[in-house]
Amino acid sequence: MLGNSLETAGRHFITALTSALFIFGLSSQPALAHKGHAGPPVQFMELKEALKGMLPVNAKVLKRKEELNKDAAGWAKQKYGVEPPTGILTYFVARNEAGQTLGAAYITNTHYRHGDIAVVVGIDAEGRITQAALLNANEKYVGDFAATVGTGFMARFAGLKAEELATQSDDGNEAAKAVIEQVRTAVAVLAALTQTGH
Amino acid sequence: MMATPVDLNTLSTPWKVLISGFLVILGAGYLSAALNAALAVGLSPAAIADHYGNKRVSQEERAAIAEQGFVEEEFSLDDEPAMDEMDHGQHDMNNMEDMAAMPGMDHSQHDMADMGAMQGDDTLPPQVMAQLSHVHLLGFSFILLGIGALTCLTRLSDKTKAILVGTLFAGLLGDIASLNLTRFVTTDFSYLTIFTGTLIGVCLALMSLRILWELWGPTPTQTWDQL
Repeated sequence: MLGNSLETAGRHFITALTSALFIFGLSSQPALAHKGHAGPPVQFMELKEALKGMLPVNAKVLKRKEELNKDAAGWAKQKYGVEPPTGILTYFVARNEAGQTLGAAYITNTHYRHGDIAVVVGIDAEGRITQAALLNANEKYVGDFAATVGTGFMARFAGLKAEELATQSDDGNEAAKAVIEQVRTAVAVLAALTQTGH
Repeated sequence: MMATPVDLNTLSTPWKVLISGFLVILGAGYLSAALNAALAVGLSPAAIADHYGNKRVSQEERAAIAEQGFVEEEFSLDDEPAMDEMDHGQHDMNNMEDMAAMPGMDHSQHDMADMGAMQGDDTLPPQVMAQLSHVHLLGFSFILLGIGALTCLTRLSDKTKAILVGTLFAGLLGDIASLNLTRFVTTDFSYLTIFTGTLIGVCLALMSLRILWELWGPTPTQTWDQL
C-alpha cells in the first residue's frame, strides 16, 4: 500500500520536475544565446563629436529632461505618423544669448536584429535636419549599415524636413529601414518637444 | 486532515539520501545566492536601490520636473569626450537595451558593459531586467515545487503546510517583483527585496529542518488522525 503510494507520488514528482526543466530549457536558452550573435558594439562616433556637427557653433547647449505632454505627443503622432516614447525624455537644446532656441538634438535607440543601434538627429529652429548620425551598431551588422545608410554622419538626411523623410527609400533593406524609422522618430520627438513645425 | 500518502520517516534509505541531498544543495544554493547578492549588489536597501534603481533621472530631477515641467543643465561640447558624461537623450525605457549590461549573463553583454558608460549611468536596461526575471522565476518555480511538495508530505497540519508553502510562494514572487518595482517605480521597493529575501530564507530553513527531522528523526508513535 505504502509502496504503491510512494511509487505514484514519486512518478508524479518526477513528471512535474521534468516538465519544469523542459519549460525552463525552452524559455531561457534562446534568449541567452541570441544576444551573443550580434557581437560586441562598435562605436562609430562620439556623442559630443556628433552634437558638434549638428548643433549651431557658439550656441549654448543644454541637456534638458522633460515629459512630452499628451497634446504634443498626439500632434507628433498625427503629423509624423510615429508614436513618441512616453516618460521623461532627455535631449539637447542649443540656444543663443537671448534664450532663443537655435536647434536641438535627440538620441533614439532600437533593436536591430539581435543587437542595438543608436541614432542621433539634430534639427534647426525651423525643424530641418542639420545632421543625423549612426553612433553605434553591433559588430556583426556593421556591414549592413555601411552598405546602405552609412555609419557616423549620414549625409542623405542633412537638410531634409520631416515631411521629406518620406522620400527616403529603404529599398527594402532592413538596416536602412531601421535607421530611417529612428530618424523619423527623433525628428517627431524634437518637433514636439521644441514646438517647431506646430 | 487527510492522510499524507507518504511517511517521510518510513522511506527507504536511498530516498532519504536523495531528499536530504536536495535540501542540502538547496540550502547551499540559497547561501551562495545571498553571498553573490552581498558581493555584487550589497545587502542593504540603499545598495539594492543603487544597483537596481533608475539613475537616468534622479529623485531630485523627478521632483523638479513634477514642479516646473523640466530640468536642464549646461552641457559643454568642448570637453574631452568623457564617456561618463555622455547621456544619450532618450526615453528611459527605450534606450540602448544592452549597453549597461549585467555581468555574467552572456558574452555580448560583457562587451556591451564598456559602452554602458555612454548613457551617463549604469541603470539596468529593461531587457536585462526581463532576463534576470525570467531566469530567476523559472528557477524559483522549480524550488517551490520541490520543497513545497516535500513539505506537503510532512506530518504538519494542512494549515501549517499551506501557510509555509504560500509564504514561500509570496516570497519568491515578491522578490523578483520588488527588483522590478525598484527599477521601474521607486527605489523604496528595495526594502521589499530585503523583506522577501529574508522571508525566503526563513521559509526554506523551517521547511528543510522539518523535512530532515521527519526523515531522520524518531519514528512517530501517533497515528495520522492523532496529528
